[in-house]
Amino acid sequence: MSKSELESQHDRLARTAFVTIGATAGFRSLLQEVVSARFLTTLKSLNYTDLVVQCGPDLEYFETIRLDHTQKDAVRITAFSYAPDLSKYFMQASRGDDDNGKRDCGVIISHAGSGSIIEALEFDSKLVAVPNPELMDNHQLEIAEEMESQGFLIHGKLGSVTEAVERADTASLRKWPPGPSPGSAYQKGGLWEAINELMP
Amino acid sequence: MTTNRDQAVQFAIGSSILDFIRDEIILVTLLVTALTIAIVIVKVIGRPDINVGTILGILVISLFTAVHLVIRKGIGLVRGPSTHYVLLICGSGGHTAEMIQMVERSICSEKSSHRRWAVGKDDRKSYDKILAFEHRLLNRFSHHSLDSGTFDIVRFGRARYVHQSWLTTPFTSILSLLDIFHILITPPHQLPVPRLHYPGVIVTNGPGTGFLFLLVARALKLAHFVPRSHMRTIYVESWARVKSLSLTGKLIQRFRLTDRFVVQSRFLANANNILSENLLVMPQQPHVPLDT
Repeated sequence: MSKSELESQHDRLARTAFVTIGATAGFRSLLQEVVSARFLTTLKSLNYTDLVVQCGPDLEYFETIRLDHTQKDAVRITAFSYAPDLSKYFMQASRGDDDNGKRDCGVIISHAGSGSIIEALEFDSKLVAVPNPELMDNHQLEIAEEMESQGFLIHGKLGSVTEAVERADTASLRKWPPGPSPGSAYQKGGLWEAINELMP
Repeated sequence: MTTNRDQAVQFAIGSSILDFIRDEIILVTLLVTALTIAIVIVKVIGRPDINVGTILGILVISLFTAVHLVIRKGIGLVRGPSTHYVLLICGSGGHTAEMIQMVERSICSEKSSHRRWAVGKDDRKSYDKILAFEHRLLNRFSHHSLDSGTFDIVRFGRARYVHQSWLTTPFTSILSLLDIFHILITPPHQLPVPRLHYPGVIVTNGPGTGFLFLLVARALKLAHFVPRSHMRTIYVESWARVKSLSLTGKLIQRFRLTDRFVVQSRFLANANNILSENLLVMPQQPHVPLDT
């Protein structure tokens, strides 16, 4: 690598979009969308350098659909199935300056499972939650709409995830966690307060 | 059509029966011998007024009394120095993540405390998540010279697996119930038994099996196997439920199975429950800082 190349790489901050679809159910329609030419072009124009995709049970499927889009000087795509601790990847998509270098605030594109949403909100990033329409009974749509109305995330819809990422780039989202809510129980001590109230 | 799932379920039922016979071989042999001797005696004496049914009845009653006495003896041990033993029942991924989050933010250091986590037998990811959490907790509390107490993770068979045939459901339900009894009444190994015999508080946040746990706990208390002061129960409706209660939530509310029924959305608040908005992330500032 030449000196000038090194310098230009140094000047350009790493910026990551992290896609996570959860551990149990597949979400092929979202995977298809994040490797579409339109999506990748938008990422490129927003100065993203990396696209990291957690594919769950669909890793093999993802490997077959991503081949068409490998070109030089494009956003670097990395994929894996699942890891017990995803915080490393959430971190990569968050603003930061640590051992892993200086990073610009990226975006987390997650399925709208409640577990994934609360995990993702802990990080200093922008969250786009995409409900999986194949899971009818788990209220992903409900939670995505409610959380968007409270201003914590962007509700991404299949077919317009690209627009959601563009919106995330300029939107200012509410800080997580929300403050205590007046008139509500256990705001000072949380669940442990409830437990101690009943403990013999 | 036999699916892999059916085979797995059949295998689970078969192996549990084998396990039972192997573990309880002495008990089974004793019972069978006692029955045979009893029948022989009756035959030898040849008294027509005592039949085998009576003998069986007497045997069953005495066995029941013996079991009852053994368990009652255990109750005496509960009264002692106060302890902090909580049973946390987690289900699939999302429920476990929420439970961990609620505990992680709010937990304080207690004197001789124990956390028992109950997860589904087929739920390896929940198991790993809990283990990772307990590791973080130990690290964080040690850093502040605090005692994080002890924990164990126990596993239960599900009453019904997704796509399982309804024909085999009664069997898996019985196995699940046996697991639940075992989890509720066997004390943890870590601390001296007498001090932590039964959970003081049981918390669940939504898996279907949580309903069974609360039902069994209620039955144990009604039968006076467990004192009223113990196995107090808390149900927390998932944070993801903003417009309607989950089926488990509805069942638990309908049968009034909990001491505290908590909802996290103001749309669900009413006279029968406690509204605690965003309990998931309360307190906002943990008593013990999260980063070490």
